[in-house]
Amino acid sequence: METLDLLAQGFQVALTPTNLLFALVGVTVGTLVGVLPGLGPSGALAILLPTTYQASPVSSIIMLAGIYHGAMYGGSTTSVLVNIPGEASSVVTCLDGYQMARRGRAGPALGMAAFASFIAGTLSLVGLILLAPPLAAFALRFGPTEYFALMVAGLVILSYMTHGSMVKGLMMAAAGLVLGTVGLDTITGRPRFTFGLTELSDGIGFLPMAMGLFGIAEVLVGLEGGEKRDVYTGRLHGLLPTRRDWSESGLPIARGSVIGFLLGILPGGGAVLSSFVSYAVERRLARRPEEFGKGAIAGLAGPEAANNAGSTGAFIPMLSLGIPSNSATAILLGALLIYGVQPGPLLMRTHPDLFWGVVASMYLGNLMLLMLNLPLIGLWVRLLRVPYDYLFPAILLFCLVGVYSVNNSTTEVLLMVAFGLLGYLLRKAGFDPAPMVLALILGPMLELNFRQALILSQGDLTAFVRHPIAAVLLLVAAVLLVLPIVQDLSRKKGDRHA
Amino acid sequence: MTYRDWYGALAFLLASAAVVAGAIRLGVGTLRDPGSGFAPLAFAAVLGLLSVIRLVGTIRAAPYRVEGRWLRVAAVCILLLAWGLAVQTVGYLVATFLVAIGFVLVGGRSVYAALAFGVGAALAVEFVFVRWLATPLPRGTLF
Repeated sequence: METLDLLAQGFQVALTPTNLLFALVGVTVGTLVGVLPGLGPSGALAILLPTTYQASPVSSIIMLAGIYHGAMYGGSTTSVLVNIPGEASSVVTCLDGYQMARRGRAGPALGMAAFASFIAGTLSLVGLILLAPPLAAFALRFGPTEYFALMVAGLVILSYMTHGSMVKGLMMAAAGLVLGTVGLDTITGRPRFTFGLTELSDGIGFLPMAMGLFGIAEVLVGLEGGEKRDVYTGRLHGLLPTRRDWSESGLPIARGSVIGFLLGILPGGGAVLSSFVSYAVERRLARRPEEFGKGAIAGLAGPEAANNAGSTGAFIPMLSLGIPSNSATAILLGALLIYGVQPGPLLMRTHPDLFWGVVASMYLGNLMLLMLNLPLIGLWVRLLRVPYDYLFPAILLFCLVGVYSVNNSTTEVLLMVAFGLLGYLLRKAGFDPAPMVLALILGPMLELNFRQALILSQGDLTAFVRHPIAAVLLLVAAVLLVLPIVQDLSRKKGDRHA
Repeated sequence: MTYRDWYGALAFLLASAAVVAGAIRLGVGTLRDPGSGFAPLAFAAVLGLLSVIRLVGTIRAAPYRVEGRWLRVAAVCILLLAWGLAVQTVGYLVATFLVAIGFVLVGGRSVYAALAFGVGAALAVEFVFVRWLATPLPRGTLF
């Protein structure tokens, strides 16, 4: 009952004209970003973060959450019409969505993608409302030991989930932790690795790093693409799916919502993994699996539901524990810190308007997206024809002015460019920068909790295994660290026997 | 460009060694009373260990070609740096105008298109950032 009262208050916050406008701007810009290939949700969030500084924290987070969800919706449009995913989680949508378009069913494909996203978004919000408060209440029992273990587990899980080599993922996380130590020591106040630059006293700015690694680096990679975009030119008709489409998509949407929501909670799970898992599950359960990849609507509906549910599920650890589970929620967490709001278990008590307002606005945002996506598809198609040669200068100029305007600092512009180049080189060498950003945010908190735990236990390292919650979390981390080695050894053994 | 996986691992190993040296200078302290260098040392040691694992695992790996339009990327980075270094002197309007032209030329468009885009970009920054969002951007000291 209390939850419903709080949710009602949240709707009061979300339904104020200002917040409705911020949500509308957020979902529109997010959809635009999702539609245009070359900039993912994380890059868009980082780039647009400075534009929210004039607004209240609640309005700002509502807008940023709208951008995040909008990008998830918008990504499906390019997948269906151009066979180029607007962002990573829409890769799977290309498989059957584009084939549907080639068969003259682009309208129902886009319609079903929008409906599946809306239904999954709504279902996962119910999950968030049910799960986040008890999780936050449970986390109130956490002391420095548990928090340290939770952050270690989060970073290890994210590295485990990262594409490619786990060692590379862990290296990125460790590099992020090292970068997080730059600035004044939070306990002694002593400067560390600042090289005499006062701009580095507060540490490496989160914004220049995120804008560089995601915004600039994505553009630099995009500059090389030179992909020829073959935009769908046929007339879009019959956006509403048929009864048969619904009967084939109902269960995949339901399963995709559950899969996406559960995987979204895990660090690194999020929307990308959710959509792939959902596709694999649907193909396995399908009566005619041979139709997958040739325009099966279930292969579109399930993953679309999963990626939207995953993006909502990712809010749970961020809002209730203060631990982001992917790069986009890491940027949202960074935004909260910039606005002076401390995320974590106390957020619901100290800023109930923010927590419940954001939850309510996410529902309204889903509704807005459904209403926006279907009638505005023609506009998105026209936008897809904007040449990248004009798009990338606009993105880069936005980055430059945006990062400079935060502190009027040339150093931050230079840092952003340096991180942009680093992000580009890391991508070339097959490193995923997401764990680095997450570690930069978690690093100072991880260090503080580690040192507090050591001081409280008088230097006794066994404190980390004597606390049951911390022990379980560290055990999970240890298992995930050992698992790839065991798998590798057993594979080699199998090769020898073969 | 030919790339070997151990190049990256070696770069991270060297970086971690530098951080370890810096952390020791800061003072590591004890487990009862960790010093300012404690966490950097621990994190850099983990990074160093992982880099060694990667180095050992890839030292015999075959080199492979990494394709890239390096000139384009370098030109864009130089333009980005130029905006950062020049904005306080020439002001945001001139810096944005010139850098926008540079970006469009790098993209392979005509000079006229670049000029038109430059004017549009400068006006957009003026109206969106300065007038609408009230962002205090530098007007420059040169003019």
